[in-house]
Amino acid sequence: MELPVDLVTPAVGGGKVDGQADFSAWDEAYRRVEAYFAALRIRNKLLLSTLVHRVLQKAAERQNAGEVGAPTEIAMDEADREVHQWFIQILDLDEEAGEDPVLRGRLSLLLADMPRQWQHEFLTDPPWPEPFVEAMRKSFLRAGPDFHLSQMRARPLELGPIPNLAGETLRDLDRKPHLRNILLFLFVIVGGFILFYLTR
Amino acid sequence: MVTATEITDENQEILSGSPALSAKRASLRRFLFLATFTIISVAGILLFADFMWRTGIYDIKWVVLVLYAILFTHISLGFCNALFGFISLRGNRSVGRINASIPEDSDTPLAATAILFPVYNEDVSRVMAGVKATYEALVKTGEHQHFDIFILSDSTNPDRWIEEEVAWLRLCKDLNALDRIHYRRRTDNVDKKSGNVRDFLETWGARYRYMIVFDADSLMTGPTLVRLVRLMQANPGVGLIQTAPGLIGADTYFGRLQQFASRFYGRVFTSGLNYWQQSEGNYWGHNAIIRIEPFIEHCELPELPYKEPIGGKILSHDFVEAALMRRAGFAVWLVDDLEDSYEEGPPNLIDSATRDRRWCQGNLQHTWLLFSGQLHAINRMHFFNGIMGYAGSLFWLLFLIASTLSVVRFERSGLSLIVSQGFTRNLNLSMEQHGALLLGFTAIILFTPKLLAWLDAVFDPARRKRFGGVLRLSGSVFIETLTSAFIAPLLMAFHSRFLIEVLLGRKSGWNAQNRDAGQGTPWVDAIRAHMGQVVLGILWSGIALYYSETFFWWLSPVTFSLILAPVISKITSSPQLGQWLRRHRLLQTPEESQEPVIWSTCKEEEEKLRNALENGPMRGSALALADPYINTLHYTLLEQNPAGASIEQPPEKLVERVLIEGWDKLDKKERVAVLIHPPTIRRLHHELWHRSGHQLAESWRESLSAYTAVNPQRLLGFV
Repeated sequence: MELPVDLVTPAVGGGKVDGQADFSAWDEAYRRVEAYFAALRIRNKLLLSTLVHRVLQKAAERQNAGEVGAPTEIAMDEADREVHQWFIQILDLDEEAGEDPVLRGRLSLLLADMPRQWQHEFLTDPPWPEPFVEAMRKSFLRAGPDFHLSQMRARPLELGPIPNLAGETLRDLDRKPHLRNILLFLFVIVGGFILFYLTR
Repeated sequence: MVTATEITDENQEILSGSPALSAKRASLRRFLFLATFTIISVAGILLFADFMWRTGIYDIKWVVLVLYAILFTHISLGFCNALFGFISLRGNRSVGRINASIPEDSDTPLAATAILFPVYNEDVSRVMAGVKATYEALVKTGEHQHFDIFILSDSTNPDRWIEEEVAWLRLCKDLNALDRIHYRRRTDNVDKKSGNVRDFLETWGARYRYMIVFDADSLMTGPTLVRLVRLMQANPGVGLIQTAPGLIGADTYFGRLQQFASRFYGRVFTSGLNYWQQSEGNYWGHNAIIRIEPFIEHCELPELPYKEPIGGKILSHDFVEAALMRRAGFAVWLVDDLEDSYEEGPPNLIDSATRDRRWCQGNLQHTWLLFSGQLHAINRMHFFNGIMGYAGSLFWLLFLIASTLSVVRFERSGLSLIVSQGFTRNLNLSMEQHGALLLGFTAIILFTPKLLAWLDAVFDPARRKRFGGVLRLSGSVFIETLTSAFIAPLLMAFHSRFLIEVLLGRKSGWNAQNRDAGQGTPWVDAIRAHMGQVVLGILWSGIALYYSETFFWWLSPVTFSLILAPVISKITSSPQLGQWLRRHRLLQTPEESQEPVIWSTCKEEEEKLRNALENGPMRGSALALADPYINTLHYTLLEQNPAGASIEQPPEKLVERVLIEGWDKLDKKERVAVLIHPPTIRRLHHELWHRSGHQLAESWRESLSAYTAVNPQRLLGFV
């Protein structure tokens, strides 16, 4: 199924150059909308071009009615609007309730296995098969069960006098870097002396 | 509320009431073990001391003697573990083993159990394949309704993070297990793995009675998982049961060597460990079941005195958690006779050393706890053993250096040896005979564990067949022993360096363990990693040769290994050599002779998932912006994260760069800053699809149009 060329006749301008530019712009819009539906896993070519056709037709009408904007922007806006409205319908959502139909709808599509089982129902008018509607409406994504909060607190642990003394000494040495450096220096000197003594 | 007093009383009853787990018997076993250990250690040390005394002992020789005493004591402990393990395997196996506390066909009811997979920038395909294999194994037992799986991510790599989400959803969809397999990523990975598990416990822990902690590459079969829960149910005084995981899935020579050693020698060692440690066992961080309530109440890690890496936050949390569990009055057991618990190991020497660097730091921190009277003596012995695992290398190096100095000093003195009679005078030994006796005795202590493991297999027809038969397993032992002799000096050098680095205050990083063999270690990496060892080997050989040719040859097994370190490292990292040995059924393990179903399932799924992730419309974190489903999934998961509310919005400039310059122009930090903010994620997705082509980076235009061209089979499994 081919998209009629006259569908994307530029709304404004008329010269050959402008016409060619608009033709390219609508071509880009076509490709973008097609890619978008493909990204929603519409793999059926006939369905894909039908959907693209429908969206572009509405977008062209909007442009002809005077809406300003690049064809890609208007067409994608139209695609989103179509999808948005369809989600509200199939999920039976109340727009006032605050739930985002697109978020809910996309996940439902995926979890209901639309790409594999229900391609031909996507963006169609009701009635839809009951199992599809049920699958869409019951799909719900949660990363984990309800929280059951508790708190872990370290219990005091007596390390004993040697570690306590060692800890205190190390902290003291950190506070007195000069003393630490002198001790390190002495350590190296004594080490060198021992080495000399052992191999003399 | 569980209190220590209640638990202690209950536990005493359990420990003394069960014939399989008698406390009296444990005391007797410990006495026997310690007595044997002491006799052997003293005999070896006296033999060496006498050898020194006979030629006159003086300052440097005292140093040599003390270092030898430390080293000999350490290897004697390994010998005794193997000896008692071997005896224990030949005796009544129903005594002193937690697994014997319930019948084989026990139908003890199960309780709610969480299986945890802590993940940190790991290979997503492998982790999720492991999750899938585990879940399917549980379903086969018919008891899966008692288990929930949690993938607890601490991943900081944005690509890994998004791939984890994608793979998780794909997995849940495939298994219809969205209510059973859960995914959570921490925004702030405080305290690394122990903090990751603590975060789970503080949010969901109280919903479950037990948790089974996996490593990212762990695998356990369904019956083993169910059995662990039953053992805990039947023994309410037990707080933790550790399985003895065997290595699996190695390809390289080094990997297969480690795998063979763990599976072949591991049995006598773990059996020996269980023989004396009994209910004061240890925790190795994964492949273990833990009673959650006392863990929450008693096992939060204390902060050590002084700063990291010497003190501060405890890095190797597992040993300490076992000690705290025991302090709370709960038993900690090693189940040495429950098979089908697996993990993967590093494929080469350099990766193994990288892991050891982290473990070295963690184990050395345990020094602070050695003197705590509030911890059980056996737990402190575990700490000591862990420390000696690394300090032993430094003592060995110092022993060899001191020996060299002793030879240098003697040769420079120009004196000749005057031999006197020692306490071995009744044996009328010459110095050569005395030396040979000493060498023989040390060799017996070093190699008997290998011999016992060999005998253990030879006496057991089924076991020896699984290792390739007597001839092949003997060949495998020979290859393993020979190669280990070459590798040991390199580990000595690595561990000694790590220990000194820690003492000088250099911290280790936190990297995901590499388990992929690839094509082996490149020469450049091998030379870079071992250059210091080569220089040490050349200098040392030169000094030894200058002063004494005999000593030069005595030292040659160590110095030649050091000089050849890059070659050894390169050769042992070879997957081709590993596979060649495998074709000849050398270094064969039971899992190679008959691949466990859980492992085949895991490998199969890993391959599928890798294909899906690598051949999708785009890779990694870009999916979270462009793909409508992944964007929604990522947004939903971010919104469900309680820490999400406090996330800062990324700067507008950065958001614009994403669109104009492309995703690949951002560094990891910038990507995370974008990916972590839910409104930005949605906005970017909208802008990507709605903007005209000239307002987008070329890479984005290509990625979006790829959806129309991509093969349906390659849409991440969501087709």
